[in-house]
Amino acid sequence: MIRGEDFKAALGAPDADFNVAVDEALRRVRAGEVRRAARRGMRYGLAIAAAVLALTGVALAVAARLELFEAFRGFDRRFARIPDGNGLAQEALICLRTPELGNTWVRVGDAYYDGQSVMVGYTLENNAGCAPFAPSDEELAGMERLEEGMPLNLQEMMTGESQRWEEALFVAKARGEAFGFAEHVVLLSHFELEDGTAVMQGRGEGLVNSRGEVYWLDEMMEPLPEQAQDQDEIVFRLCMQLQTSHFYTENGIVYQDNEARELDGLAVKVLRTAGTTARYAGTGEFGGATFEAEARVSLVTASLEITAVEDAFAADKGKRLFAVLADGETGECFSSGSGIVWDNTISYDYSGIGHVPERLALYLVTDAGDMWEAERRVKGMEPTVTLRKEE
Amino acid sequence: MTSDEFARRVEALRPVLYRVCRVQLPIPADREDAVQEAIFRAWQKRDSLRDARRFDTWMIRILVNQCRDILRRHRYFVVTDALPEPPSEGGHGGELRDALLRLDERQRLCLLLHYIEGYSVKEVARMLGLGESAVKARLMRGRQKLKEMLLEEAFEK
Repeated sequence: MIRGEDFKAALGAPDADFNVAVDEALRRVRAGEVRRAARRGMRYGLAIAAAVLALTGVALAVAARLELFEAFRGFDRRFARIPDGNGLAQEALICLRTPELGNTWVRVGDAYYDGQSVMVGYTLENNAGCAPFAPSDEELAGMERLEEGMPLNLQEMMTGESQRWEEALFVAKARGEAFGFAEHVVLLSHFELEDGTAVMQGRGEGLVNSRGEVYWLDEMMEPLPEQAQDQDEIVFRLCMQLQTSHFYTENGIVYQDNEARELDGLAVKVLRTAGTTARYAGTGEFGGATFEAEARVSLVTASLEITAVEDAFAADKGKRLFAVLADGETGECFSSGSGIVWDNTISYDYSGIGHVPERLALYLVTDAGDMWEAERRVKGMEPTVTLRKEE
Repeated sequence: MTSDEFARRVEALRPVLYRVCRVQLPIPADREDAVQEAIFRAWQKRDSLRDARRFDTWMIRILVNQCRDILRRHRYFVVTDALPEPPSEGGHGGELRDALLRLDERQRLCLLLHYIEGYSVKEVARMLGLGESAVKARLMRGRQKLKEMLLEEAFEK
């Protein structure tokens, strides 16, 4: 049996010159030596933030709570265990007015902060739409020609409207006819802390209910910036963006371009849910090598970092190392993570299991085909190391 | 997206980016050009990333296009493998690599991204600008060819 890992090993690790090329490119990006591509002329006016109900900074009971976390409980076991009581200090609502979509309402209904994770549930009303699009010659010259197949960035819009436009595009493509459309979507651009630090969204989920309302649940990318960790409360802005994609076909060729315009955002203040995080540490041996492990666990997330002592993982470079993390008492597993051994330290991220265990059992597995096999294999085994909670 | 966030995401993808270049471009210098240009283009076009959760798909798509551009440019010259690959290292690893690299480029990329890198058929379709059915067909044909070349079942899936 040959596995993907065998092919990875056969293709080898990035060579030194390749690494230099990547490092140099990223250095130039960081140094501001690579400029943003010029955009074509905007056909739009400025978006107007019509109304913002800003937070007062005082924790108030939320009337008519949306209970968005509740809506996601059927999809994610973590929400079933988040304590009742919304961390959101006050409901936040904004109406964004754009020429493309008219009024788009964003309403934050649920939020959670535990010192290391931030999750926000919000609804979007009238956040997407499509319209006919016919480029000028100049605009067409600036569009990207797609060599084959479907457009890359076309999102599956929950209304299904874009699918209908997409189907029409491909019918026109097959016939060699001219046809085009613009797809507009208002989505979260990023989070912004009080000091202006931008934080990308990490994971996110979208749902649509029977009334066609779009529910979003977004998490800040972890680890949070230092200044946002372990505070009593966190204040940030949900910065929204209008994303527009143009698709056009003629003579059997499909063209596409994308642009984004920052809109206004809304301020959100979330109080910390106390007693929901813990740190763990332990030292173990694996394959004759000593390693140190540190973990952080909250109700909704967990992270693990293992560091080999004295380059002890050197012989395993390029191999996938599975780290099965479980509650040391009940055996309940966090979602298993796998990392590639490139250097002495490997980091793993997991979904939380809704509680903070007294101790963690860590199992390291190298030769599993996938994470499920790794989980199956460690059942009934002694953990590679038990991680104890730190005070 | 800040430059630091962008760099962190590229860093996390570095081995995948290497393998995507590796299976498309035989000349090391071309791989270096491709990855640098892809990083610059991605940074310049970061507004086109509509959903940060799709960074991998988006970045790999840009890199695949960049590799293809380089291959197209090379076709204007009669390059008879002027800088050939070094001979296969002995053993199983060399055979696997050679078998993969002998596949048609379209099948090779699909196999790499789906079976080796673990992206779903849907994600691979987005990366390569193909329909899901086309990706599945290439996976099936590529897997069959690999089996024939390696005379054993190449993949469990």
